[in-house]
Amino acid sequence: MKKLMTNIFYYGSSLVLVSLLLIVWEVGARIYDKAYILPSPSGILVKLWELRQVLFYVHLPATLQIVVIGLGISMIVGGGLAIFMNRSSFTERTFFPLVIASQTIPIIALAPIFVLWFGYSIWSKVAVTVLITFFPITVSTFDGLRSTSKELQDLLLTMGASKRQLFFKVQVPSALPYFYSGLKVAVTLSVIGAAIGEWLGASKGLGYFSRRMMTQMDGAGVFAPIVLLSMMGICLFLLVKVFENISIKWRNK
Amino acid sequence: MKKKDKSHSHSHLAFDHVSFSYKHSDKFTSVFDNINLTIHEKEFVTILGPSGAGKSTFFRLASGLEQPESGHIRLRDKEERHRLGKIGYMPQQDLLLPWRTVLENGLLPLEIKGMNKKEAREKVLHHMKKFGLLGTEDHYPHQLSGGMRQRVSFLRAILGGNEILLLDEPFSALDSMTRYMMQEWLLEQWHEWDKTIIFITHDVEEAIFLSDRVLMLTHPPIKGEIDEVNVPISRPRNEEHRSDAAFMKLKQDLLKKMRSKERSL
Repeated sequence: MKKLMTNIFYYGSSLVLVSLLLIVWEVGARIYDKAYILPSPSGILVKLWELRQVLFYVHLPATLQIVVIGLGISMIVGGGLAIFMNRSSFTERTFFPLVIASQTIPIIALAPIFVLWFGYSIWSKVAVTVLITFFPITVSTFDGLRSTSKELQDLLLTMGASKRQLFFKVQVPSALPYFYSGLKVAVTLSVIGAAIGEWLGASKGLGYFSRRMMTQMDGAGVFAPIVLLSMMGICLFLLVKVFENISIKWRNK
Repeated sequence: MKKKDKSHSHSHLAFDHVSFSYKHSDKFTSVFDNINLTIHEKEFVTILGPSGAGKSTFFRLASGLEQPESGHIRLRDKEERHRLGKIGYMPQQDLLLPWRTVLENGLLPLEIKGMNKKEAREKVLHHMKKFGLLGTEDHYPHQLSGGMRQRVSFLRAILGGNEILLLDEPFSALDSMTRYMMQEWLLEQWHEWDKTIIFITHDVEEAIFLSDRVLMLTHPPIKGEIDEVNVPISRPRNEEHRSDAAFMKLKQDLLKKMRSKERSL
């Protein structure tokens, strides 16, 4: 509890700024008085409350499922690709350009193709999420593996370590902080990926719901699921941070 | 000291006509050209030389990280190409794994050798007691002072269980007070553990204070026999020996020799 108070105090300036922005928005929206274009923050909150059943029990779980599956696949694919590229300069030369090229594809343009391939199932949205999130994980894990100290590796070799031991005892722990940096970026992007996927073809999910409200000219209804999406991103980010602090606890001592 | 009777001791590590050069973009720079040297069992030998004198190349060859281009490296009179894991190494920077506690760092060589976890733990704790490191087992390296970290690094080298230890300028980053203390501490440990120690340094005084014999390296390429000087100062040694007339004279001689070698290049 005391820690919470310290934290609130620590981020006090940020809280003040956010409150100020909200007040300006609220006042502005009331003066403008066209809720279908600019809903007020209080209007959005009311809408969130009204729609709580369908938002929290139908759409939020749908999007969360996409995000979690997408991130899971990205961690495996991204981590695996980083390890594979780190094996030799040949594999790096072969795969790195492809990894970068994958990021120059405008995903919005590609997403409809995913719908063609995977239909309206969850997998078309997962594919969009993976395409966006594997990149930061791959690149940062790869950098982490490469940053492993040569001296430390030599030291373990003089102890008679095998390649496998070198990997698990030096390379993995060295790359871990980098992996977490990549994951933190990926987590925030994952929410965007899932929302884009849902926009282009879905029957449930926060992104889908927001778009449906748009067609009904319900401004507050557009914003309410977006607020939830944003909250989801923040919560996932904090969750990663918790895991990071647990697995890299030596840094905090 | 009974064990320092070198006239009867056996060769522990020997370089026999060893040549080695580094390759930089198709250009070979020779470091060693047909060198010979012998380190005896239980001996404390220092390799003295300025930076860039091929000291670390010597270490990489001895430890097995590099192989000679020609010639042989022998362990106990037998040619040995697979030296990795057979010679303990204590590096210049302590190179403790920052994500492991002191205890876990000590466990590292035992884990690599595949020792049973419980047994390994007991062994490390037993050694930590002897090293005066009890109470720090759950600390992370960055919580320790420089001198303490070097102790842990030495502990780790001892726990590797090898009879030859290569110490690569282990005290060069410490302040001079701590360095003096660590030198005396190292001599005590050497008497205790019965190891052959090869110590690299660029500090003449450190070389004399610690060793039975000093091998001198200057700029590469280094050819043939390595110049050496015996240190006829009695053991156990302590702080007072540093101001002995014999000690001072030896220091002057060594400095003179190193300088004339530099000039003759």
